Amino acid sequence: MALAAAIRIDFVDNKSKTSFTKIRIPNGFSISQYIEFGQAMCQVIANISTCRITGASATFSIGLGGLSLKTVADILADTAQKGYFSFASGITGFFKRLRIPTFDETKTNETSDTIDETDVAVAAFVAAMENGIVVTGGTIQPSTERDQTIVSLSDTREVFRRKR
Amino acid sequence: MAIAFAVVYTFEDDSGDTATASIHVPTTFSLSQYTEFARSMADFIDNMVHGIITGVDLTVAIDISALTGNPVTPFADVEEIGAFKFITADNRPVMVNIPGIGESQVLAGSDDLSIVDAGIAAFITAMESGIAVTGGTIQPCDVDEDDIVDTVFAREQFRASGKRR
Repeated sequence: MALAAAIRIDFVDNKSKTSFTKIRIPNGFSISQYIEFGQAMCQVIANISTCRITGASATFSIGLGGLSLKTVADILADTAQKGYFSFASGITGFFKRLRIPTFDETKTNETSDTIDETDVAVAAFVAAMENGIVVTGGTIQPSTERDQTIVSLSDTREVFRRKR
Repeated sequence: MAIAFAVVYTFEDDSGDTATASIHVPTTFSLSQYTEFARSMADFIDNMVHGIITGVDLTVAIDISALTGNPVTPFADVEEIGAFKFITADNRPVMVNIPGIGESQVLAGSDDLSIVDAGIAAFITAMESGIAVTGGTIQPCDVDEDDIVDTVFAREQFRASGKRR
């Protein structure tokens, strides 16, 4: 049975404290239908809450069944150890930065914290981020948070961050 | 400028600790296309990490700029919630807590919310009967997609902020 999708609605009160609520909804509809539902539900809830609704989103769980992914974490796996990638977009000054947890240290350059871009797995990931992935009927090209298409890799590093 | 959708990967390490990483994608594709993308990208990422990918979610931002009557009021408090308990067709409970419920919606001398209040009644109707969208009706449900069919209670409660779902 598929995990139901969810609408999350965020609130802020008069003292700037924040909270959220979630409403589960079934799979099987289109993104535009979910957005329509979310907007209507936000209005219904805005009518009964004294707080301000500051944001809303719909979340869909994507199944990983059938893929050949690892099923057991290596003994060296640590979520605090991350592979940092910074990608430049087509607009100067706008980047997509991401940190991939449990990054494999053998994919960094010796005596350096930079990531080995010639490593086959790293190169494949970077190519997918720069050129997109072909899907049925098109190609999905990763972007910045503001929907500016990624064009090139600008920086990579191995970094350590607190666990979260 | 649109807010891009996000494909969010969750990782787990050897100690059972979890962490996430997000890849943003444009807003013009279908759910099935995003699913294809997310699964392919999972393969690429899996080859670079020691941990395991335990889940992938697509998060779609919803534009709320057209909301009306959405100011914060002087007495607004996220710790003052409307606690709604619904049941599904298979009698499974579903709790929905709405932060910032107003005192005017609470029945005098009790903690019950007034189900004849127009706003409360509209919310309960939306939860029990769904909301009509172009081409269909979306009916709220539980995590296993079992439809909500009835309301058990609606009452005022107080909870520490940032902890409701």
